[in-house]
Amino acid sequence: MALLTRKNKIKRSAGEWTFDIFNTLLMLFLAFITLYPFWYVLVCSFSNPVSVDAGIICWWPDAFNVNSYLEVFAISNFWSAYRNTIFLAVGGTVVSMFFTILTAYPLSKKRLWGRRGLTFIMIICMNFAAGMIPRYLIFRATGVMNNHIMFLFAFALTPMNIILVRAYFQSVSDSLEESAKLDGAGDLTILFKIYIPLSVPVIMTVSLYYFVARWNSYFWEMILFTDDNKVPLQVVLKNLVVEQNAKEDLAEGDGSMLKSKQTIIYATIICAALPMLVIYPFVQRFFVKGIMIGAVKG
Amino acid sequence: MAIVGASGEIRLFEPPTKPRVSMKKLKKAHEKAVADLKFKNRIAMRFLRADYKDDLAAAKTEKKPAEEVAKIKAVFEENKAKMEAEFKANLEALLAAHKAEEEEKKVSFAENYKVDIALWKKEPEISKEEAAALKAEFDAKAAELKAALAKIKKERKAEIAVARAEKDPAAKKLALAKLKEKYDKLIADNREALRVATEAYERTVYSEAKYYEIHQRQKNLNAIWRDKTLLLMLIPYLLFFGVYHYAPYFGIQIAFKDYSIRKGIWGSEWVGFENFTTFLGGPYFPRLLRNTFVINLYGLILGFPASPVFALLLNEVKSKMFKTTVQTITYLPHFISTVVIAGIVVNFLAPSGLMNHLYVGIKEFFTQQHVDPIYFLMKPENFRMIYTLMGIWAGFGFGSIVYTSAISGIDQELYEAAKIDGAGRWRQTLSITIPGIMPTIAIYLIMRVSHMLSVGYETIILLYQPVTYETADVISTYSYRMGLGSTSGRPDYSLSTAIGLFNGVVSLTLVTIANKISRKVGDVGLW
Repeated sequence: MALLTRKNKIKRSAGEWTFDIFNTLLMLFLAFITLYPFWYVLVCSFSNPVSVDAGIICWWPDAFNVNSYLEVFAISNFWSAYRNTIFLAVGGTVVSMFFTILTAYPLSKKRLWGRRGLTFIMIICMNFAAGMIPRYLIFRATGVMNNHIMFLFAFALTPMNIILVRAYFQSVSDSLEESAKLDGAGDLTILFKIYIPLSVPVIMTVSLYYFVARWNSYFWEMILFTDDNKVPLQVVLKNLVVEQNAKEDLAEGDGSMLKSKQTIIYATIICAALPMLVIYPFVQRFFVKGIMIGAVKG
Repeated sequence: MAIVGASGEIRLFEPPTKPRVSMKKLKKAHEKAVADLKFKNRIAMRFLRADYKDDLAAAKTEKKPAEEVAKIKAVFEENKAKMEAEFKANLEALLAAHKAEEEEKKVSFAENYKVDIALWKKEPEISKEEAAALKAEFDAKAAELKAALAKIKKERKAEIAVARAEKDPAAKKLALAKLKEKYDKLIADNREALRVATEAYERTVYSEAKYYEIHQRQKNLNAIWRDKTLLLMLIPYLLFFGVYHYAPYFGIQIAFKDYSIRKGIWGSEWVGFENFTTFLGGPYFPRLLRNTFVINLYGLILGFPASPVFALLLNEVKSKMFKTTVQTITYLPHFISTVVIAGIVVNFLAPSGLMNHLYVGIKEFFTQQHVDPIYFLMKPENFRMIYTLMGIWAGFGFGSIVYTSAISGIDQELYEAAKIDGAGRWRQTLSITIPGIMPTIAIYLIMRVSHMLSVGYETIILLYQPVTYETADVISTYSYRMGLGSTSGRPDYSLSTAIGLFNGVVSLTLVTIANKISRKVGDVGLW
């Protein structure tokens, strides 16, 4: 951004021309290798498995068909997994956002008694996690196993997001709060009537953080949801991928076992990543903003 | 000393600042001044050196005689020496000034503190009789106000009873509201009068220190009562962290126990450090340590430079639209789940996958012979490179954001000055942009190095196979396999926790050290 505004009055030398051309080509190449895998996956998911295995797919589907998708939809728990993912992502965002705002607001008040100590509680957790097994035992003890609602609460708060919202609340002028207090407004009224409407940008950003994190995560879902009807999409995909990988291990030298599995995985990948790919162009600027605030604060 | 609290509350003067604290503040300001001077010198030196190189190159292209080249060199050396001497002198003068100021302030801080604290603790100069008289006066006043309050309350009760008797509901409501307003004001006035009287009395008879001591507690309680809604709002937060983050800390004890599900966390038997010795002395430990370290080393050498280099190159792109487009595209993989990315990688590297088609195609083209596809992910020697490249692919774009924002924060005047001196783009990048993002690079590098002993298991468990454990199995994946990821026999929760604890403690130590260093680097601005 900085250098864009400066006009280079010095004539560009041959070396600089070469550099510019090389640099533009490099950028195009990087953009290409970022996008092409997704395009390839999309194209393959609509192609004939045999052509995919034969390696003749490049830009367009060969023998366009939706058979792979039909097979994916036929996976016994596919639809329930999709429903679960949507529930966990949407519900998780709502629950997390509610508690994040509720936490960030008091912690943003300098006058609050014990503010430092109360903030420190989460800072400790950011630096030292208790580890997988102790957490697992607590999850099991509090009934998170195969329970979506409990799962939303068990993963409700992320310290980094609380800090982001808190920083934003702190930047809101105190005079608004004071004048509202004179009119007899309580803390809750002030939060909901003044602070939340003013903080829509950060609420959007952090909601998206929570949404993307919930949509994409698989580890604890895999551990805690043992019931096939409870697992989200990422876990279904993970099972397909690991199975594929393991089969390769067994089938070294005999590729036939893998045949046509590829296109099914590709179709599942598209199903799992599509919502992200679709919303991504519209929301990416919010993410960048959040990262910048985080970088300044951290 | 600042007044704490708004009107209507107890006003307290904070105790005087201790000399140590004042000194710390002063030292920080001094350190910043020194860093600024060093930075300025660095930039000036860079320009000098750059000019020199330019002159040399010009002399070379114009094929000037050797004497002139020698002369250029001599002039440069002279200027350099001059500049160095000047910088040294400036620095010494600055340091000397700082030292003198610190010495001086050390005394004055201490003296000021002595004066302040004496004033703070000074008992008011009143005789016992005077104090007794004041007390009697105050007590009388307090009793009077109390009586007045009781009277007001009695009157209120009576008037309310009268108002309640009213038949018309609208009129009744109105009368009650009016009464409430009237009496609330009277009561508040009474309380305020008592508070004012108390403060006036206490400030005359107590020292500031004593006054502070008496009221601090009350002030805290007042603050808690005032912000009770805010504190209540924090209950879910405390519950969440208490249950899901602090309660597991108690579970760490199973690392020192032989955990059995039947006996539970508290009932299992203590075994001391047995789990740790099992792990540290076990046959896999050297391999795990080596893999963890080497995978991190790959990431450090290949992965770390990717983002700053990309940010620098992107910065040289002139068209704003092209730049934004490239940014948008390269950030994309960050939003895609690890499972999807691993799924793509596994399939691309499969014998019938895209990478193998490319590999076979290219190799057959050159050798003109039939080539068999490779099981990339089945070969231990490939694993680390695959893992690292996948990380770079998924992360280089998004990781560049911090560097891009650091570049946009560089002072534009530096570029203007450089252009006046005739510096080209390459020179500007070398002498301004790179030094400008050096602090960011340094901090991220230090943080990266501090994570040398931790690799996340979430990605590796998707990619590795028993055949590739030799190079792919790291401490965290082993811990996972011993515990929740156990596929054969009974999981050993105690061993898994012990490994996790070992890894966590080592990482925490490294991160803490790194934090200290980066704070120092960030503040002093050595870079």
